[in-house]
Amino acid sequence: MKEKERLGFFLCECSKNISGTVDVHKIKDELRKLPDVVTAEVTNLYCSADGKAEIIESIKKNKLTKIVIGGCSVKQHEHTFMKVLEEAGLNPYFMQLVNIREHVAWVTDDKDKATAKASALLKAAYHRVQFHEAFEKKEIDANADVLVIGGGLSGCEAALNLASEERKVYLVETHPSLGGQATKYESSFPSLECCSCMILPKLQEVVENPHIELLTYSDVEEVVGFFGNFEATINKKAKYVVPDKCIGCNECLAPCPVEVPNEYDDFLGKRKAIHFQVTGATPYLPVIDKETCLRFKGEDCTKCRDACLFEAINYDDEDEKSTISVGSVVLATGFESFDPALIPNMHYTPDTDVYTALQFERLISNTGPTSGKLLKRDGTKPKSLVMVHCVGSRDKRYKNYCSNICCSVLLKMSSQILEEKLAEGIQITHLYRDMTIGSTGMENMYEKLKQEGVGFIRVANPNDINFNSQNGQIHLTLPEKNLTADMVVLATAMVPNKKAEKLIDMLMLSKDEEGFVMPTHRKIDAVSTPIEGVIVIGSASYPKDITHSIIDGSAAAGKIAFELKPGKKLEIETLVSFIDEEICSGCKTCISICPYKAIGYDSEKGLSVINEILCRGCGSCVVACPSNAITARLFEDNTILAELGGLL
Amino acid sequence: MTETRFEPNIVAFVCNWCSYGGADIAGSMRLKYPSNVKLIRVMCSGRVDPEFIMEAFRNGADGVMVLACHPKDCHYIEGNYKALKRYNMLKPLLDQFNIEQDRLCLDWVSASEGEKFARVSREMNERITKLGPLNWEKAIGPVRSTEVLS
Repeated sequence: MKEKERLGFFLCECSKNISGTVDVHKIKDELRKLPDVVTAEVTNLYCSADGKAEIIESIKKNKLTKIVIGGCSVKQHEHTFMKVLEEAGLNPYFMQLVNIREHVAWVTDDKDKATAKASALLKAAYHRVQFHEAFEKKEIDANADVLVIGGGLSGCEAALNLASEERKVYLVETHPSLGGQATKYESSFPSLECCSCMILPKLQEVVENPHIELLTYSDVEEVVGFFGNFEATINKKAKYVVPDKCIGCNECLAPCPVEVPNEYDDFLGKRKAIHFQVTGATPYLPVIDKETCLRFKGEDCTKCRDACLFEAINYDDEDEKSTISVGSVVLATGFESFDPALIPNMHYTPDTDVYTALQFERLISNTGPTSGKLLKRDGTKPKSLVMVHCVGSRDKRYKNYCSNICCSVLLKMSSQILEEKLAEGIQITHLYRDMTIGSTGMENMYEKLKQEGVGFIRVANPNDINFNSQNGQIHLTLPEKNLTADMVVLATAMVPNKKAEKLIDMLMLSKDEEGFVMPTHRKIDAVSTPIEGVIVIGSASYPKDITHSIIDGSAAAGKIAFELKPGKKLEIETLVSFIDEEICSGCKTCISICPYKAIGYDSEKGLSVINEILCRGCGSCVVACPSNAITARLFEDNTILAELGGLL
Repeated sequence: MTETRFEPNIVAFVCNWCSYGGADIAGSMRLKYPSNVKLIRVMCSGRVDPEFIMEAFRNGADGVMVLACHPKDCHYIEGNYKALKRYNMLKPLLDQFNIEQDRLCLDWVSASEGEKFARVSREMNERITKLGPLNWEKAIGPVRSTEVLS
């Protein structure tokens, strides 16, 4: 039989804050008369050192089993009093703090009414606390290693900040080289600093870091597990080039008879079947693209191997699958360009001199298809250039958001053309809706461009443009303006990387209405996700520039370093829910309810099972369970109903 | 003889993260509201079982409030939406129990909305005062609350 409770009440006067309105002594006398109440006491400040000592002494002297404190908000002193209980040798959950200050004394004028309300709340707690059970803090073993998916700038930054003697980082990049979209840019805004000079040393650091296992040209095929204990399956695609032998001399490229559109130039130029991602890529290693190489179409071509002086070509290379264990996963899958062909009135076709901003980055890049020469498709220099802002952006028909950086990108490109004299005498005209340039230095650039004769024409909606390409010229028709240009650049919206969709689903992350990954909170917890241990950074969660992508990488590292310490166990939430195996019918209703994907299905037992590491104790599943098989700790049905019964 | 004014008994289920905090702020701002609004804290409004609401009515509550985080602000992502769905399900059913729909209310109170917490409490109190006491025995017939508690 359960032993009789020995209950104690401690009513705080909180100077006059409580006792000025609530007659705590009258309540004390009432409470003493309740069954199993051993003591009811009043003091001035229970949160003071003396007050805490009084509680501890009373618990010991009266052999109290559970206590109720009438005082202030749980937000202020629940933890204080939980510690007091621990010091007194009681389980910290054998306590209920009743807020008779903020919720009673401070909001009630009438003393009798305030006293009656406080009394009712304390009696409710009297009933409640008798149902409180002892809960212990739980710890689990955790792996401190980290998987970073995506080797763009934010992913690289996270990896560099995390990798150490005690913590290995696996950095997986689907392309042959690191750096992501930023490797396409010649210059960066607002300083026009050379992008390669800025980022290549960082990427080289990643390659050389002994605590980073770099898996380029690799894909994450599966991630299972939970915070502290994830397992990931990674497929290392065959490169057909031996990294240890290849010195990156380029000799193999010229003999290759295959030419295909180059995806790294956004299909502007051509590349061979054996190719580098871009000139100067890091790591600087070519790969053979199996889809286009003649050998894999049954032809006996060995031209690249014949040209290689270092025996670095291996046609027998195979995909290699491996499984790794990590404690945390960082998703850094970046963005891609909105396809302007989706805007029907524009009549955009990719083979004219109308380019997306990403294509144009390549056109004015020294490593691009024209080696940085600004040339039209027919090889002539353009005399006029129109830059169209907000393409596919801020428009309910397409993408109803601003990508934050496109205005700055177009201003940067204009400055680069003028400063580097890429096309002398060129007339540049911007068609814009609003000039959205936030970062320092951009305002000066904008003013300078205006002074230098760059035209800025404000239009209602650039998405209403119509292109008509005739005799090497582009005619632009807008409701308010007609223009003719030799070349057009479209600042297309930045959209989520479509290739990441499978991963996002696999990690059970939510997306917003535009397809970006939803962090736990867009402002106060912007890199965490509701799936504990999974972090989202860079443009995977919304469009970001280089600065913010790198900040995100550091933020992710900070979060993980703080929460997942090498060699330390992981403390998990105590107040979680659990499923009674005897009662659960395995209907899986709770599985669909849980926002944290904390409930799984044990197919052997035919039962739903809560993963205590992932559960955060909200209790939504408890309400949803048709069999009443789920209990929320400290907020069990009985406990809440006892409180309710006592209150009324 | 003077008639004593009816003072309703109102239970407010408040979520730990937003509405409990809103009630705290009402206190810090010394905003007065009727003392017959009494709080029960749950971690999330999604924990409020429609059965708790019926149990409150059965035990003598004349009105019940469920106060939750604003849409998109839930600490547990979507618990407030679950509370809303359950509220929308229960509310029309109240008619069949001879309980006026106005005796149940759901509202969003953030951890900074002391003003709103006090206002919502005052308005609820006015509504329920006008409706008068809920006579459960008359509405439903005799059922003992101990049946659920035991």
